[in-house]
Amino acid sequence: MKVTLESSDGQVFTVDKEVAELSVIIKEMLVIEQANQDHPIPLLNVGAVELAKVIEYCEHHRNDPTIDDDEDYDSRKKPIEMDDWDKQFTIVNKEMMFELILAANSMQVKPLLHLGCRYAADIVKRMSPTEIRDLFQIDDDFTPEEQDKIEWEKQWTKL
Amino acid sequence: MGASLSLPNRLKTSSKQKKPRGHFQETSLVIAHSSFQEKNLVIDKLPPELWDLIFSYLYPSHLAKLSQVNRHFYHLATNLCLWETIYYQAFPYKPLQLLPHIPPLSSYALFLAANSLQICEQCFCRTGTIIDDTTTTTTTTTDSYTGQEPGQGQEQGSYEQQFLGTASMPLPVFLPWAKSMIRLCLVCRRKHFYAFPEPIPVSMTGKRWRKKQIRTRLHLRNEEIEQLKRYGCGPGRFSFCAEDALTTARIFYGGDVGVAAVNQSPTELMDRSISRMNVYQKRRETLNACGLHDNIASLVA
Repeated sequence: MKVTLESSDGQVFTVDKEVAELSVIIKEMLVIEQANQDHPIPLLNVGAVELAKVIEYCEHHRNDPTIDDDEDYDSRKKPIEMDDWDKQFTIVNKEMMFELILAANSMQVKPLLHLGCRYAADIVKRMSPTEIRDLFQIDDDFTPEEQDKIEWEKQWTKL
Repeated sequence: MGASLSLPNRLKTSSKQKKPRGHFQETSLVIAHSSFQEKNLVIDKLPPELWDLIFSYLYPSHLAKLSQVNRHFYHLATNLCLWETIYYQAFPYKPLQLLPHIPPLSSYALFLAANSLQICEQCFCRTGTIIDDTTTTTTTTTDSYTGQEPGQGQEQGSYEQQFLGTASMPLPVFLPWAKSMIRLCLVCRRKHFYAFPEPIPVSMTGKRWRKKQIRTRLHLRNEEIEQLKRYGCGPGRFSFCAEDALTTARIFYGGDVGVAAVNQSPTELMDRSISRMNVYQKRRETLNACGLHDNIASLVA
């Protein structure tokens, strides 16, 4: 069975039902709108580029067992295990990755959301504060007194 | 001509723009997001709950680093439930006296930053004596759950602390998946190095060491040395396999960092902890002293 999805900019994608059902939102929508499946499901927050990428991910992971995730702080303890496909998939520019996180969040594609967040965390963790500022194109807006204050909070990072 | 005229003009406008912005920040620091509203950036689009998810993959030291980026990140990184979780793991049964005028979760973050030398970033357990956060009571109170006088704990120490020295304290270890140095306690270090053994240095492969050498270089005690595989060399004299000795020492002290730290007394580390705690206290005093209004202006909230 096929399902059609419509991105925010009006592009229509046709995918298998089980692929689309990786998204919790779409799954719920399909349950509600079982009768009329002729018109495409509108995804108002997701652009065509991101949607294509999300579908690509879902197509590849369609047979994955569903993991029930209790969001635990244990996640930082685990070494990151990504298969080669996921690694290839995450080689996109950083802007795109954050867009994907947003798309995965609004479509509730849990595994992709976690993959994205892990990737984002990975980028951030090996960067210095200056590099992070450059990445997000933001300024250091601390006043000198505040600089003094946070000076000693750097203690976590001092070894 | 036109170009020379436009330059001062541009300067003028930029200085004009800056002024109200600075003024705005002074009055409403609590809303850290305000300064970003002009630009449409990735970080603005991500809602706080997604940042929380991203942060859940980070260690406390990463978060501390992020908090130095700017106010927005400071706000995000210090206001995490994680800090409360860590606090109660590290200081069970000891409710924290929250700092006035700043978000409660930030108080936990600041207190933990002062104690970060004693806290394992993996299991969040605390090693070493508790430094009381009130200067006046340090000398008189006794820790209810260790039963030690706060000042004396360092000298007495537990059985482990006496033999292990600084090796019993959390020490920085490079974690490949964290891509940085993370402070790990002895137990976590043992677990980590069990899963990811350190390579044996070439200079030690196939070497035989005498008991004295092992004792001075690897700080192993007689009990452990006795259990090593021994090779006879002359009547009543033995030498031991250097690789075995190194492995044993690494397991016992939690990796090479541990072995290197055995001879140092944990007092030095505790002193650094105490000096950090003093900074924290000073900050708390200033917070207590000034009113709410001054505080908002003087603090990154």
